[in-house]
Order: sequence, then structure tokens, then C-alpha cells
Amino acid sequence: MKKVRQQRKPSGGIRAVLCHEQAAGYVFIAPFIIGFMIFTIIPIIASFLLAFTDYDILSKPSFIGLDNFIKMFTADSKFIKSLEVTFFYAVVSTPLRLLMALVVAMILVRPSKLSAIYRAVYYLPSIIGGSVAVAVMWKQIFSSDGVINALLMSVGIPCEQSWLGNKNTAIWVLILLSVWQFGSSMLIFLAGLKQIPRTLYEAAIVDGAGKIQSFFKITLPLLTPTIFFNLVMQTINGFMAFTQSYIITGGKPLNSTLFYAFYLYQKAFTNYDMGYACAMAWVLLVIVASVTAILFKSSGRWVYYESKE
Amino acid sequence: MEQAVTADKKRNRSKQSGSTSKKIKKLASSTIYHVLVTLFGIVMIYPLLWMIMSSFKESSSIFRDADNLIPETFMFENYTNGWKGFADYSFGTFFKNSFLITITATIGAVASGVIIAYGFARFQFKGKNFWFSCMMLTMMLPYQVVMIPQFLIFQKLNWINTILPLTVPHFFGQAFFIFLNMQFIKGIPKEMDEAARIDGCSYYGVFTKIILPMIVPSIITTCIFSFMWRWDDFFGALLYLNKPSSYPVSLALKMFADPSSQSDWGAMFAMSSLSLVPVFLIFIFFQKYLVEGISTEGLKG
Amino acid sequence: MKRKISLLLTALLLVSCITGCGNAGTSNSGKEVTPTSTVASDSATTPTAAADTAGNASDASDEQITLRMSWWGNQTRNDLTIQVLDLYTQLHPNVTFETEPSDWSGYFDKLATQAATGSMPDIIQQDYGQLSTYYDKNLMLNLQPYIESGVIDTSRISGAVLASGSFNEDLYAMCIGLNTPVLLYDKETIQAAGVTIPEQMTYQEFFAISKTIFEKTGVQTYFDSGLIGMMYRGEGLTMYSADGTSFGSEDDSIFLDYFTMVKQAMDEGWHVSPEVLVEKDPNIVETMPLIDQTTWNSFTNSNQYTTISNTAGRDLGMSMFPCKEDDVQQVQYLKSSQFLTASATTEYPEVVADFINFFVTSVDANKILNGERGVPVDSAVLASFSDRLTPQEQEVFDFIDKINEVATPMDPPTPSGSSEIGTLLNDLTEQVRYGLITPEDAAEQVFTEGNDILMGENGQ
Repeated sequence: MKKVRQQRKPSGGIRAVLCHEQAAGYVFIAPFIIGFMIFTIIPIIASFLLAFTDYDILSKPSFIGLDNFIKMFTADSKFIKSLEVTFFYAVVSTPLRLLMALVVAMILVRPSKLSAIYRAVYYLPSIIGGSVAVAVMWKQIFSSDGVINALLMSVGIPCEQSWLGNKNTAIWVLILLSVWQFGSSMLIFLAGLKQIPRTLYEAAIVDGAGKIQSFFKITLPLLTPTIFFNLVMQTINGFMAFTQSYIITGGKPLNSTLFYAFYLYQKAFTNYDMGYACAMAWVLLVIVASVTAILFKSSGRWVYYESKE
Repeated sequence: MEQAVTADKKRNRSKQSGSTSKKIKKLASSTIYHVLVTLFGIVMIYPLLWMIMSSFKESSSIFRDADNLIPETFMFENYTNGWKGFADYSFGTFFKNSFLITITATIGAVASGVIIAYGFARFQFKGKNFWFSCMMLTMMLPYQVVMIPQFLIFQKLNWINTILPLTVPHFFGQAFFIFLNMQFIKGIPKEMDEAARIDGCSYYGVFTKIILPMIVPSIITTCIFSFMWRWDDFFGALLYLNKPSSYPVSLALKMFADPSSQSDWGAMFAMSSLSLVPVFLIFIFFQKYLVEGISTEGLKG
Repeated sequence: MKRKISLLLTALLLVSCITGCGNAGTSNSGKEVTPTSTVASDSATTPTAAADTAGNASDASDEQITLRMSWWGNQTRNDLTIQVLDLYTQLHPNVTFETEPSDWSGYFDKLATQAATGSMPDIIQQDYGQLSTYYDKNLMLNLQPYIESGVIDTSRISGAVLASGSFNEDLYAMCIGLNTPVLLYDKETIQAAGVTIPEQMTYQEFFAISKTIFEKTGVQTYFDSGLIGMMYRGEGLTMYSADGTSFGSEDDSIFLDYFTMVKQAMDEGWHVSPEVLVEKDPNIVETMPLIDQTTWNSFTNSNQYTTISNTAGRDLGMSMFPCKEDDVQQVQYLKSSQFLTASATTEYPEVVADFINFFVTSVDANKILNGERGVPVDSAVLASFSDRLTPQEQEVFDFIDKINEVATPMDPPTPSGSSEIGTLLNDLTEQVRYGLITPEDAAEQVFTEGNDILMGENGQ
């Protein structure tokens, strides 16, 4: 309250303006700070403390020091496996998905009578998300007698391969599923493309720039904030992936699709080992936070903001 | 839109001088464009079509005939059976609940997302990086490990069995939306703010007069996403809502499938298809704002 | 800095609160509850006399009571259960219910959260696999005092059935539907292969038949680690020791037998490949390989018979689980498809007990429930069912009847940690099927790691 009043006071001088900005900044982010204090900070700290306990949800946690972490890295081969699987998935699926989303957004931004329908069609797979229908379909398509093999057969490649049953290909099926659901990234790209002033393109045309030139000179640089956003969010999502493991493969075969978050969930609610799950969560947090921090550090070099500070 | 059209016209005019072969080429490329986009589109929505078609099949034959897209006979019983819902509550009730939760939460998410984003994107203040990191952090912990302490908080607040746990937190900002809107605000040249400031606008005036109109695309995106995610969320509802009379559609859908007894898949697919309609309509309604050139007007001034 | 410290303290407070909630259960259930008849109780009514029950309702005290009940299930079960609750409210106007139906997959996540935060419903449908965990943590109400005081009438329920929900001779979980392990087979395939399935096969016969079917029709077989518990039973052992700190055998020979069978079945080619099992999840009715005749069989429970037959759209037959020639006892047993339990912290234990009694022993209630949760356990209720069963239901009832004559007692509830062992067994089975590990190594690994898990969970 005090800050608001201070803000309203007419003020002069550089120092006062600075104070002014400080205060206004806090006024605007105040909802976040309040919500964070009420709903978020306590659960986060609790999960951190529980990482050092043996906690089975149903009875009291007991402090066991670093045991959870030691067990994780020395005696739990599934943990290592899930880490590998998740890393691979995040690193491969994120760029593919973004590329797909960007290409399709570029294609669909072209105004046409049908563009509304096209956008809807390409966005729809994201709407149905992780439903049972998708799980069933996906299994059907990639089964040994499924559509993919039938297609391969029709072009003369006989294939009896069970794509989801093979430990080398199963993860690719899930990656493909994630790429298929590029709709949300595409929508953000569309919004980003929309924000680029038409006038710039018109000016470029007057200057005689071709389509390709204006893409690299105007579109791409002005889209970098959006690309950066999608990159960060999709990377985080990649590491936190859970649903596909949960509804489609259950981690099979041979744990080759065992996502980290899914294993964590199993630990917490199937084995009632919440302490261990919390420890796993914090290891994941450190990894994801580091990757995100690297992305942010790198953003100074390639992300172009109109409002450079 | 107008500008786009003028640009197109200009381009067309400049090409009119070209030969007819160029025209044919253009027509051909346009045809190829539509054919390719359509073909690929069919691949994209095949699972959706499958689900909708399955909702017209006889429940027990859905998995046996999974290969066939088109049902042998179209049945509407799945819809009438499914709509009945359970425990004296029809899907009418569940849809009403879903709308209440989703719309409230979305209003909160959009309003808070934009306001907080402005704070982070445009102001330099002490502790900014700290709070920004905190915000990013909230996305990096799996929900499973924070849900029990969070449940305790809502319990202490006496919010269990109400929609408050599902809506109120959204009024305090969701990291995804804050970050999204931030990126769009940063894309606006700062000179525009400063010009407005010189004209006597306060920070708050700049926010409503300059920033808001300029980031319509990201506000629209926030609306679409928030609506979709809240609509689909069943786990929060499962945890916090106990009475069937307050269940949203997403949770009610789960009631059709039980691995240990007979599942009514037909009804489930029927109601799942129906539950996509609002999400689809929201998308159709809002996406046109992504086509029309609202954001460009500010720049012209 | 000060703020940080205070935050930390808040968090600690919170953790201690979680702890506190856990303890609340302990202190309450430790207390011996002496049943009094102040609260609505129709303990005197015979369950077959509905008129009496209705008459007694007027005795009920005027205190308004709201009970919360949770269960998992489908739409049908939700409807039927709520009708029964309404009936109970009709008979006891002071008791109303808040219902918390859920689907299977989210049910236990929610229940665990509620248990951790001290907000469990009063009446809880429970699964056999979870009983020990909830018993160990003192989260379930001891129902024995209410049997002794006559609130719960168990006179027409067999001792073996009660034992399945009992710990140290005290009943904690009331069985609400009988079930038995069953081998389902596809009659069409059997005929095509020209074999017949006896009532109970030996493993040798099972292997020979599977091989013949595969050679004649190309249809394969599926079995998994669910057989292990049955193999233990055949040897007169239980899979887990009484105190839950180890397996019930001295060595890993049973595991070795099992994994050797897995390998042999794969080597001979008649067992469905692990690749196919990823697509056709045997644990989900709609995708199990029996449905599309990838396999001719499915090892499951008798209450699944109707569902699986309907989903497959073909005639299926029921047979007992295989046994070994040198088995010392019948492996087949009667089990509970699910239980009703009461929260240890319920405010109205007496009413809850009365409701459980009503749910299980009232003919009227079960007329509504219609055996949807399994064959009724109360013999009077069962008798009242005889004339209104569908042919398929009749078959299940008959099969259970037949098993009832030969069944040996059910194993006590599986100890904490058994779900983790289940995961381990599935992982290793998969590896043996892929040929990545020898049966010897798999058996040794599950035996040592499993014992470690059990000791860690249940040891001192």
C-alpha cells in the first residue's frame, strides 16, 4: 500500500524517478509474490526437506541424511536409465518439435480463405493431448500389423517390426508423438509472426528484398523472443514429460521409455517412497534449472528485443 | 488484414506484367500448397476422426474394429447413454462445472499473466532476477512432490470441496503465461513507452494505452491455452472436489473406464468428443484475432 | 535473512504437521473402542427382514450425521452404490452421505494424499494389495469390536473370507465380493486346435496344450509373474513370510522354476513376444492379447469373465490355474475382489460399522448392488440371487461354487513392499523374454533384491 501511495506522489529528480520505477515494478509483480508466498513457497521447501527423509506418505518422515541421493546414484539402475531416456527425449524432441511448429506456422501465416480451417486442423492434435484415444491410436498405428508397416509394405519394404515393442525404436515413437503435437508451439509462433509490423515487410518489398531475404532479415530476428520462449518452455516440458510414458508404454519395453517424471510418480505413489521421489524431484530441478540457465545466458547473443536495454 | 491485402495487391500488380505461364505456375503452386496442407492435415487429425467415429460405434466393437475408421452403422446411443452421466448428475451439470472453473481460472490467468509480465519486462528493480528465478522454478518441480503440502495449505484455508483451489491460484499468475507475455512485451520498442510518458502517461497509463493493445496476440494465446489446460485438467479436480455434483467434465470422463470392470468406451468417446467442442470453439473464435492485424496499428501512429 | 529463516520454520512446521496427521491415526486406533448403542444401530435386525430394519430406523438418534464414502469404479457402480446409500438414508434419516467416486488410476493417489493430510473419508473401498500398507500405518478402524457387539453380523460369512481382511485375528476390512483366480480360454481357438482344456491342468499339460495350439493355429499363449504366488501355494507355502520381512521360501527355487518356464515358452515360440505385449497390454481388458486372438488364454480373476467375454465378443471358458504334479495342496483359493474399510479417525465408528453390515448382509441393499462387485459373501444374500442372474453371471457363480469346494485358505494380505517386488518381477520377466538375462540370474536377483526390499519395509 505504502508503495502505491509513494508512486502516486508527483515526483521530480533522477533519484525520485528511480525510486518510482522500483516501486512500480513491485506493484506489477505483487500478485506473483503474494501467490508465491501463499501457495508455492511452502510446498517447495517441504519437498526439499523431505528429500532428506524416509517418508512413505502415510506415516511420519524420518531423517536419513543423504541416503536417498546416495542410493539414487549408486544402487538404482532404473534411475540412471530414466535419466538417460529423459535426456535423450528432451534433447531430440524439443528441436524437432520447434522446427515443425515454425515451418507450419510460416506456411499457415499466409492468408488464405482456408487458413482458419488449416490452423484448426493442425492445432487439434494438441487439444486431445494425452487422452485414451491418442494412446490407443498410437499403439495401433505403430503395431506390427499397423498402418506404418502397411505403408512400408506398399512401397515394397516388408516390415514386421513392432515399433513400440522394440527397445531401440519405442522412444522414437514417443518423440514422433510429441512432434505431432506441435500445435501449441505453432500457435505461439503465429502470435509472434502476427506481432511483426507489416510495414517492415512493405518497406522491404520497396527495397526490392525477396521472400527469403525478408525472412532472414525481418522475420527471423523479430521472432527470436518467441523462439526463445518456445525453446525454454519446450525444453522444460521435455524434461518433465510424463503422460506418454504413463498412458502409452508404461515405461516398456525394458524401461526404454521410462520417463524420469513417470518413474518418480511410481516411486511416490506405487511404492509409497515419497522421500525418494522428492530427492529425485530436486535432482531433476537442478538439471532443468541448469539447462534453462544456460539457455538464458546464451539468449543475450541471439535473441533480439526491440526494447534493448 | 487490410495492410496484408494491400501488400498482396502490390505484389500481384507487379506480377501482372508477367506472362501467362507465370500465372499457371502460380495457380499450380497454390494448388500444390492446398493439396499438401490438406493431405498432411488429414494425417494430423486422423486420431481425432478416429475418436469421433468410434463414438458412433457399438461400445464393445470399438477395439475389435479399431482398424476401420467408419462404423458399420452409426449409433447415437452412446451420446444419449453418456449424457446421462452418473449418480443423478447428467453431463449438463459437469459441463456447467467445467465452464465455471475454466472461465474463472482463465480470467485470472490472463489478467495476472499480463500484469505481472509487464512488471518483469519493463522495470528495473532490486530483486527482479530473484523473483524471476522463483517464477521459473515453479515450473521445474514435478507436481507429485508438491501436491501433498499444497493440499495441506488448501485444507488449512478450508477450501477443500470448493473450486477455490482450482481457480484462485490462477489469479496470482502462472509462470508459463507470465513468461509468454513478457516475451511479447519485450518485443515492443521502448521508445513507444517513453513517448507516451512524455505525453504525461503514468506507468499505469502506458500499460493500458500502449502495452495492452500491442500484445493482443499473446493475450489471445494465453486465453486459448489457459482455457484448454483448465478444461482438460482432471487431477486437481480429483484431489480437491469430492462431490459428484461438482465434478467437471474432465473428471467425469474418467468414470467411464474402469480396468477391473466393464468400461463403457462408446459413451466415453462420445462424451470426450463432446468435451472437445468448447475448446474447439474457443480456438476458432479467438484465432481470428491472430489473423487480423491489430498489433500493427500502434506502430503506424 | 530473517525472512528466510521464518520461511524455513514455516516449512518445518508444515512437515511436522504431516507427521502429526500420521500420528493422529496411531493414537486413535490404538484406543480400544467399546461399542455402545447410542448411535443408530440396527444390530438386532436380521438382514433378511427388511421390514425390521425399517422399523428400527425410528430408534435412531436425532443427531445429524454425514458420512463420506469413497470408491473406484465405473458408471454402473456409481449409480448402484448411490442408490444403496439412499436406501440407507431412508432407513436412517439422520445419516446422509457425501460420495467420492473416482476412477481406478487416480483413486489411490488421492487416498494417500487424504491419509497424509488426515482427511480420509469415513468409509473406504479398498484393494487387497493396499491393505497391509494401510494397516501398518494404523489408518484402518478395527472392526472386530463391532462383530463382538453384534453390530456387524458375520454369522453367514465363511471364516476364510473374513480371514482375508483380518490382521492378528481382528477384522479390519470386510470383503464385499468373492472372486477367484481363473484361466480364461477362447473356445473357438481350442476347437480349431482340437484340444480340450481340463478343469485344472498341470504345468506340463499347460505347456503341451499351448504348444499344440500354436502348432495347429498359430495362436500363442500368455502367462506372467502372477503364477509365482500360486506356485508357492502349491508347495504349501505363502509367497511372503508371516512377518513380511522376507519371501516365504528358503531359496529361490520357485523363482527359478518360473523364469525357466518363461524362457522355455519363449524358446519354443508359443509364448507371445514381449514386443507385442507393449502394444497389447495384458493388464487392460480392451487391449489384452486374448481379445483379438493373439493368445488363446488369459490369467485373470473370475469377476473379469463377463467383461472380457463381452469385449472379445466370443465364448470363453473358465478353468483353474495350473498346478504341479507334486503339489501338496490345491492352489486355487477364494479371494476378495475388494473390501470396505473404515477410517481409523472416523467420528462415527458405530454408524460406519452398521453401514458396512448393511452393505454386506442386507438382501435389499444387495438386490440393488446386484453382485456388480463380485459374488456376495453372505450366504443368505447369495441365496436370494439365484433367480435373477444372467447366464454369464450364473457361470461365474457356479465356478466360484465349484472352487469353494476345493479351495484352500487365502494368503494373508501381501506386506508393504510387495508392489515394488511386483515391478521388479515384471522387469525381470521382460528381460528373460527378451533373452537379456538367464533364468538363474533373474531368480537370484529377485530373491536377493526382494528380500532386501521386504526387510527394509517391514524389518525393525
